Amino acid sequence: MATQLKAIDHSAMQTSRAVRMGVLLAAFVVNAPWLAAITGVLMLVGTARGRGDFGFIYRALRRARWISPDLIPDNPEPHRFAMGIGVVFLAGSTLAFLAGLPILGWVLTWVIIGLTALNLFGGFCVGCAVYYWMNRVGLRGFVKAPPPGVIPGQRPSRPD
Amino acid sequence: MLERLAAALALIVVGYLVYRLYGWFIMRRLVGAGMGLEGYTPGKPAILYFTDPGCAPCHALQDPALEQVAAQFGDRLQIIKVQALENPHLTDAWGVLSLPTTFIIDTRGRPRGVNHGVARAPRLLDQLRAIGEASPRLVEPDRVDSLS
Repeated sequence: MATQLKAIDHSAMQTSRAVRMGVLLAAFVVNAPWLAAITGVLMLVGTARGRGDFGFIYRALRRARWISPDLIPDNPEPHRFAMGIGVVFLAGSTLAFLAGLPILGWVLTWVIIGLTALNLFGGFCVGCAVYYWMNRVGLRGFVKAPPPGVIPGQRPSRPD
Repeated sequence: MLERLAAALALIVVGYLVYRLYGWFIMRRLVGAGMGLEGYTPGKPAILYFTDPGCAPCHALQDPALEQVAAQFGDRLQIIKVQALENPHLTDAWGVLSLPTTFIIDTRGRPRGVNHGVARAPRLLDQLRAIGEASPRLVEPDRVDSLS
């Protein structure tokens, strides 16, 4: 199926990833599970609205001209799906904390820290790869195929 | 709090080591398997290049870098191109997560280095030197004389 790509601001997504990773690391260091829970809520809102979880920070940085947009043709759906996976993990983490299972809570939080780091530094989005695999097996609702010349999950590059 | 900071740093280091270990594991698994190296001629180093016609950085940056390296080595180097998206089994077997990806293969067909993303000509030349393959055109003329 032909894929209709949209111009996605990868600069906004990278900013969100960097802030998310920093906040979750800070949550662990100062032992503040509520910070991880708030991050989960922001991710939930971002997933529902189709925007970044820390988009307000990106917009502030843009207004201050510290950062500029990096528009790359891409599919927004896999990124949204990946954020949804993050929400599930952080929701699980919050439930674990509430149930008095802090080790499980932090393990789930660290899974998100690891996946975010892989995306931020390695340019590989595991949630997007899962989305595209589901597309490959023809699962209903997973309609978007990877952009041309891109391995499922890989961050696309700017066209020539 | 210091203990938790130390634990966080330790986990970051462990994460990095796991990432490196994954690369090492892929390389070890490939040694001797020869996956995708059907066109490889033993006795010559090779660069196994995962690319795709739709990969913009491959055309803009990686192809010219490989041309530069090939120009220096001539027929002493093999460049084996793999169309990654048409060969998903090879892409998975070699643990390729992004395009372009290049593997440095030694004269015995063993993968000795990997570049995830664009690798410029100097880096590729360094990697070839590291496995004992010096480009003939990089050798000083008087050095060539002394070798003959």
